[in-house]
Amino acid sequence: MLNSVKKLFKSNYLFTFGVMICLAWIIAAILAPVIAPYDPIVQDLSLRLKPPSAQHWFGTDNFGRDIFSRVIYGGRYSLLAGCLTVVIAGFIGTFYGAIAGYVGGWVDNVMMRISEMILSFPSLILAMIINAVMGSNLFNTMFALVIVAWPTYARLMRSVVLSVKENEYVTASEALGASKVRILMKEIIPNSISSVLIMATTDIGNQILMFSTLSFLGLGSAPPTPEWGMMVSDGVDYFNKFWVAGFPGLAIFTMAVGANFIGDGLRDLLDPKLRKQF
Amino acid sequence: MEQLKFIGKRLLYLVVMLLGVATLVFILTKMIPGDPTVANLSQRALNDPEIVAAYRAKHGLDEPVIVQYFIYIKNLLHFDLGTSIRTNKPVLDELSRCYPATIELALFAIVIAAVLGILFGIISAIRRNSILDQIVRAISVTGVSIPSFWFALLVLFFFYYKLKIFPGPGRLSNSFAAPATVTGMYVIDSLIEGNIPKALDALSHLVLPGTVLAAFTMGLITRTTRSNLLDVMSTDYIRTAKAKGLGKLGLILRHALGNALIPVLTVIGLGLGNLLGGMVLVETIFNWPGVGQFAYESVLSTDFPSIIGVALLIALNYMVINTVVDILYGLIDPRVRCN
Repeated sequence: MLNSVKKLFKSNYLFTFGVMICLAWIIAAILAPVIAPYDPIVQDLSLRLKPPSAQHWFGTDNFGRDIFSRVIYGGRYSLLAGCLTVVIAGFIGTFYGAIAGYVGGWVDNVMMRISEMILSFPSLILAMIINAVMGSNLFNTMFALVIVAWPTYARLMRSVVLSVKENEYVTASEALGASKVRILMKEIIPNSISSVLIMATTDIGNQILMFSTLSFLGLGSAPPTPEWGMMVSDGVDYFNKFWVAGFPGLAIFTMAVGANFIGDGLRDLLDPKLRKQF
Repeated sequence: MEQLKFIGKRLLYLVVMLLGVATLVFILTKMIPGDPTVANLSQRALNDPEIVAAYRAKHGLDEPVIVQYFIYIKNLLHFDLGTSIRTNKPVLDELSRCYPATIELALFAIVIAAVLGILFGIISAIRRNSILDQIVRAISVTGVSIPSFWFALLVLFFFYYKLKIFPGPGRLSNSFAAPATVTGMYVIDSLIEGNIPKALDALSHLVLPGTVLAAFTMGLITRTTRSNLLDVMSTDYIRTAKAKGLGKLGLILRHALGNALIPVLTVIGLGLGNLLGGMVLVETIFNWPGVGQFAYESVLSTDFPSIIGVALLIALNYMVINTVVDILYGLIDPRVRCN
């Protein structure tokens, strides 16, 4: 496995590029107080809407705040929201799908129809409705994202479990008298989890996009939080000052591209059908 | 007969799923905190006890939840989606006003996405692992990763504000009056009027929002076309055709593409469904008076009857498109029908 990853780094430049971008953002988010030259929240109206310069690399926004510092701090919210959503949705989806696939019969039927009901809703609209019903703040936005995201994991997990449960080691375990819960936890889930992990890597980019979309629409965290989507939406009113929306948008874009490159690379590595071709 | 059975089964499934979505919406409405009359009636209507009483009676709000559910389903079956709090008009009227604008934009976008996506996919598969392939793959990942609201601002900034190549937000320039409504799609309605300049103006207004909407789906179509074409190219019948001395281009166009495009059809169908859902951002930024903008304004003013109407309409669209794709799939590929 380690050798394959090494080979992946050497042969797939896009994957290497993706890893570098994501690492840079993670480091920037952790070291934000050290890297950011200014406070992301303190306003200085005398510096309103200044273009990029040596003092303010990305310029300043309509409250005179340094956009570079706000972008660096903003990475914390986007990364946290993206990763937490994927972990929680992945966790729920994994167990839900594994149970549905392993138990089978009418339980499987009912469980899958419920997840399809959620899937047939356009995700953005559903997230918007949940936010409108519950009120918008960071926690509720993430809750809405999880509700929208978990069924995809459940479906994927179920489809993998359906084939894994036919394996002989599962039959052997059953013959030894292992309980259903034990088989599920010790045999089925560990042997089915890899495709869910690949999907999760690609999904982090999607979730960051969804999160910033909701905050762009005013349904995320409240101002003056330096959140990327909200910063782009601030820039809509200052159309001719390209830096106000330009740099936060570029941040979301690079983060999502990085996550997608990594996801693509991992899929190529772990999918045997594709491995032959690359 | 077998085909009819297949289609019948898909249609039955559609009805069951629609009922499921309607139920989910009902559950969501029950989650709204507080008195439903406050959430569903305007302030002026709330001051009139007769209207409040009529509303409570109509929706059976004093009855048990299960009775309320059946009343809700009955209203839906009569196409009664309630009245918008924000505009005070029936939600169904509002939706039928917005819908053609959305469909016009979505169809335009899906055509761009399909044409470019399939073309890029073919180029990428023919020149596998070349620089061209890497560039096309980078473009497709960009399309999938770019935040549409930011992309919309970028194209507006460059192509409208700086270069002045394409018109800005809206469906028509100020110098034209809206065409008489026949289909509600401005390009077609202008053509029916015989006004070519107006039709061209409406078409040029579609370009920027259409491109932004198409980006994501185009990326998906490129990837799917590429990987399917590569799969098909390694099959025996292609090897036979190659052995017969067919050129690479003829091989792909005449033999491989047909089979490789079957799964692409699903992606196009799903893409069209997603486009309708993704309209919210693009329509808001481009001031496009469609369902997406209506949804956004409804959410901002917590206009629940309208939000629910939009949700049902988009879910209905999504499922109808999926069912049509499934049926087409069955007609094109007999193996699907058998399974």
